[in-house]
Amino acid sequence: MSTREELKREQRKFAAWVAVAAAMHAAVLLGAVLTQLYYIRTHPPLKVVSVSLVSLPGAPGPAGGPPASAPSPKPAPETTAPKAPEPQVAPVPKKAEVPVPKKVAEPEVARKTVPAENAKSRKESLDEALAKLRKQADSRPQAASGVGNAIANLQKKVASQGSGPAPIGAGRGGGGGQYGTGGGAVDPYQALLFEILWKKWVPPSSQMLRSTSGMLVTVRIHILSDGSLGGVEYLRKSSSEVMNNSVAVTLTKSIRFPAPPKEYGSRGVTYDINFTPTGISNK
Amino acid sequence: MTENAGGGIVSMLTGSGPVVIMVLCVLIAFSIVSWAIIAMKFLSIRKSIRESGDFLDSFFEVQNVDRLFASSEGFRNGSLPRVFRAGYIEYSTMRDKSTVSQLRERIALAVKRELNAESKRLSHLVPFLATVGNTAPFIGLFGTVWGIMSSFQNIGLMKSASLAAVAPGISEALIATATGLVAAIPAVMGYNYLTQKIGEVERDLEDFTPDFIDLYLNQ
Repeated sequence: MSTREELKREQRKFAAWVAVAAAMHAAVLLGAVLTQLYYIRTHPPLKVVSVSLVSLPGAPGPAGGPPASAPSPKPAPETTAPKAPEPQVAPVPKKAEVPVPKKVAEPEVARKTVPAENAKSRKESLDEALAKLRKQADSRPQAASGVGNAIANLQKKVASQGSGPAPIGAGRGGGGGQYGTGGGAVDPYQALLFEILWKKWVPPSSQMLRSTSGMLVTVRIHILSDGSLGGVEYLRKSSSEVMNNSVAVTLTKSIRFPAPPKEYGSRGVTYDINFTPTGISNK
Repeated sequence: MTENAGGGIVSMLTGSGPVVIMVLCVLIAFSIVSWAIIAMKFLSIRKSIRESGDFLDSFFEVQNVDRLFASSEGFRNGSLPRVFRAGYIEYSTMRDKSTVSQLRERIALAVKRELNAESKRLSHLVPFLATVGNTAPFIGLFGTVWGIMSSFQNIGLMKSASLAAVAPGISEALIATATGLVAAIPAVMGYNYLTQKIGEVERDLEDFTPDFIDLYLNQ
């Protein structure tokens, strides 16, 4: 009898210990998750602005300041603005967010040079265009947004506008192109090159990157006059091997490019390219 | 934020298939039970050893069976006092009814019975630790193999063998092996510690039972 009671007592004790162990496991698991969350909070992801995909050849954007925007005959936002609302839904591509504020700011600069009446009508037409765009953006389904669609739209635009050299904006450095490519005339061949690289590149997913900080790989590539890859030099490597490997794979997949235009001469052309998880841009 | 956090645990768990999840659940259950056994046995064996030591002190001091029995009331969890009490109960019921040789036999039998019961009580649930230590890594490995199989199937569907396509699946699958090891390592350590302590107690019991029997008969 006493043995049976002892057995029961031991079973109760064991059940209590199981409960304690379960609570301990839950606490450890919770602690691990919280530690990770804390780590992510203390190491915020690097904000990368990649703009190469937006810098379309031939897009008559008002980059480069007032001289470039003033003479544009038709309202500038009509052609470029469809891209603007998309980033409001998609959180990642900062590249497309850039055009919005500048487009609004530009007419103010232009207003200083044109007569007041012209400026008024111009503002009205701009407001109308913006309202129209907002309506379009609202009517578009949420799922249609995202980087993929932005790329598709841009590619469509490139295809429709041809690949002829069409400078966007002017001036280097401080002037800066509207799309933030580092300013200056946009090289159509470079844009084409970036598009090819972007298509072939499989950037590491966010799940694979413990942190997006330091996820920048800068590569100098030399393209020979026949379009073949003449040389690759890593100017900067990322702390993540996954990121480095993805860039290396992309470059090995891209042995041959379209031949650069004759203006570049017989020695070919060299570009410094930044690869980040959110896009490709020139250095 | 959660998605980022999931670089680790959360997204690994959510990204795993049902088989891997099941394996993880089994392993976590194993781990919980193992820790419960380790904690419970550690405390009970430590208590048993301490009370046995205290009882032995009074055994060498008193040398009177009746008084020893009275003092053993305070050591109900010790293995030695329990064996002593079993022998004493047999001795007190039989001392007026049988000869010395018969009495010795009966007491030896009772002591032996209690000794076995005590040994069984001490090692109760401990073999489960050995089972966990031996099987948990294999169960985890099974989950990993299954996860890698599914991730290779996905790679085939994606038609891409890039690191970005291969690595997440493998990383999710490997969590099963990691969990298996997390369950197995403490179980093996606990098993080795507890069996060693139980062995000590059993050796003490075997050493002192003849002394107990002699003490009963010399009264």
